[in-house]
Amino acid sequence: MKKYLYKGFYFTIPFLILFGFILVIDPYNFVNIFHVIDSENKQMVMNRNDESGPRGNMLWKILHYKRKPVNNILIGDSQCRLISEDSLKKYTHEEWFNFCIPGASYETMFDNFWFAAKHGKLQKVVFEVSFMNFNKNRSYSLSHFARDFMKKPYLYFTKKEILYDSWANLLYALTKDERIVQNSHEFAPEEDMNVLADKRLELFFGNYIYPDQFSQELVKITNYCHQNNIQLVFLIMPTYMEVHHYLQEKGLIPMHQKFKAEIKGLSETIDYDVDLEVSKKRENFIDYFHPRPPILNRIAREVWGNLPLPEEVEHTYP
Amino acid sequence: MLFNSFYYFLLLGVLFVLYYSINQRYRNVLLLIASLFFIGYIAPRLIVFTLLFTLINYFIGIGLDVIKTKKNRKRLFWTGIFLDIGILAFYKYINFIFENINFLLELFPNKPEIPYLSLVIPVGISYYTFQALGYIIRINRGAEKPEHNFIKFALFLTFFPKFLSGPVERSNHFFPQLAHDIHFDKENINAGARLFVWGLFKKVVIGNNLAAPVLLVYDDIHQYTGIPLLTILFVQTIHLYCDFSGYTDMALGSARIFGIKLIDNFNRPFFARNVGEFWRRWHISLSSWCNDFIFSPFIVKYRKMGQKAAIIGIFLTFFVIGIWHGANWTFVVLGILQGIAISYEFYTKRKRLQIASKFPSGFVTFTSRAITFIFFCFTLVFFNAKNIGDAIYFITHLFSNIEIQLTGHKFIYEKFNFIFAMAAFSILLMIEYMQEKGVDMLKLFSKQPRLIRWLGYYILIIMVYYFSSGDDTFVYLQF
Repeated sequence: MKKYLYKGFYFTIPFLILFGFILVIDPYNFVNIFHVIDSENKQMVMNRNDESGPRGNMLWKILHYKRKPVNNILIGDSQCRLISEDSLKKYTHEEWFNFCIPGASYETMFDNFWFAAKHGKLQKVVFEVSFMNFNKNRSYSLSHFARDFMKKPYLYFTKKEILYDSWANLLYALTKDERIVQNSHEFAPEEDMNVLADKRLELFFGNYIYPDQFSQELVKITNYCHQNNIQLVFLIMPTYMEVHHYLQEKGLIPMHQKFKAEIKGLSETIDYDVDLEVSKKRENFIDYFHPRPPILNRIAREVWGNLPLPEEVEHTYP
Repeated sequence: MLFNSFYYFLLLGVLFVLYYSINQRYRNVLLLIASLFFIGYIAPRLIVFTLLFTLINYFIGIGLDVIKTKKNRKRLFWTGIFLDIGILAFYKYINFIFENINFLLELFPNKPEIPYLSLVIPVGISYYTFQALGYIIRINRGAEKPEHNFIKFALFLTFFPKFLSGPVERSNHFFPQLAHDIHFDKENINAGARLFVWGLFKKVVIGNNLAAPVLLVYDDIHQYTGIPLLTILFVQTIHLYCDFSGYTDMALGSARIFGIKLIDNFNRPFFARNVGEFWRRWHISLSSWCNDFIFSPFIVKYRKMGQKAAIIGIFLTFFVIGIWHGANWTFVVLGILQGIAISYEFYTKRKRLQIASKFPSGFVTFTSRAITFIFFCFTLVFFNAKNIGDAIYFITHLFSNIEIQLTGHKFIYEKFNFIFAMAAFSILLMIEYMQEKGVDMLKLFSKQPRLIRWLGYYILIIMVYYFSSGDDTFVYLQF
């Protein structure tokens, strides 16, 4: 039997090498022993395309928040993903954790809020809310991308996606070839981007049902924040004016207004989704929903820093 | 703990080392402990239920041997039969019965209603109930002596590779294997591991990739007509075959690693030339069980009725096979359709042979296989549909709104995976064809140099790894 076990061991050598490779590269710092590749590299690689972005950010952020909880968080989806924690720290002199996940639905954001509330002592929460996902038909959660690995750590070594991530990390670290990390929609040519933007309008609003359950959960979160002395600010990001035209065309303006009224009735709200100059220029947006980094930086300075909010921006209290 | 999960692989690995390291006399105990652990991992309460069920059948078996008076023996036998069937019926069919009674009660003016019971059906109950029934019937017939060793008996009903989805093992096949010492046999272990990997390949690479479109279409059947339905008609059969035979291979492979050979469930069913033959090749352990314990005794008892007994026997057998799958009229229809086909074959055999003799044998074989396959595909609509209405919709809309277009059908999301699975199935079919022709493909493969063999295993494992998604279940687990 000994001989047989040896033979079995030889047979498994390629798999052991594979596990060893994942262990050393550790694309999400899951094992957190080896740091052959720096975190910046890993974050770029996880955002390399639209498939890896949502699951990668989910796992990365849950893991890192759990290890080092921060009292101030920015919860949201892809609209605020590119707001850097360093700039928020610079403006406020406080630590912030950006919990924005590309592709996050409201369920995902709720899960992230409760996760943060459970693992950290929250003081300030900026909750980025968007109408694009405020749709009953956009009901799903990305949380399983992190939960699965927490429950079954072995999956980190057996899921093919982690192997691809490890491989891409190694390739990018060795070659610094931008083609490896620039495959998400952000880097698509302009004409493709416009087609995608139109498709997204259809995706977000084509089949619209007002999600009462999301409103109820937001009320629950607001109550929790009030009871625990957590400062809660809702942030509505600007969108390109085409979105408003589309909402008008589809007769969804009353829903949009209802959404805003509900949010504003809950807690302090900063609403950038108004008739801003910024919203009239296509070049300020990647697609119709995602402001480009310079706009985001400006918004960050206005919301967190010392720049005054533009007059048109509605800053309301319930 | 599914066969395609990491924990199962771990269980197999640890058990393998322990099993062959300990003394022979403790090996069955170890397998029983492992089986109870396996059951407890699914639901701890299930251990108590399974052990109670095992104890009942153990004592009934011994009682049938000890009691000498015919009358008391008969009483005990029927008590055992009613208990086993009663437990199965209670968990599996009681709400179905209530549903039908309630349907009839609606005819009354005040519409009384029997409340449904909130029950969790114990996993694997259909399989071990049939195994226990077979054991009791055989002892009552005097064809077998009861097993006095409780460990062995409990292992017969709970042995983990077959606990969840069979095969429906026979006591006269299982116990003799435990009577002898099981030695470390490299060939046995290799064969078991090979079968396991092959089953995993069938399940993950073919079965799983075909599952998504099948589930999608059946989930909202009224959204589809024409090409999608026609595609699913055939794909569902390939999916079910690869899912279930993949599972069976993994079960057989797991057992074989521990030196135990279980009854096989499949013998290249797509090469069957008629429906009768098909059922001798598909889910063999269940169909042969029904043949031995329902059909054969029935026609023997009513032999005076001649051909009528055979026909009634066929329908009775396939009714049981149908309803065994679940408490739904769709399964009853599935069984009845098989019964109709086999009865038709029974009555027209001579005529069909006369017609066939006028054509080349190759053509006849091909046509017979094609007709049998298509027939089975049609009947599987009743297997997969949620209700009879859905099944009828499926069949009646097969040729509605047919648009010949190769792309754009929204029921197949992962096109690459779908095409890959179909290509893999073609290879599987070719291998089975060669085996059907008498070529021992496994022997051919085994003769290859180690490098080639290992390369083959690595390719299979890489494909399984590539297509695995981690949350796959097996179709036959629900039964």
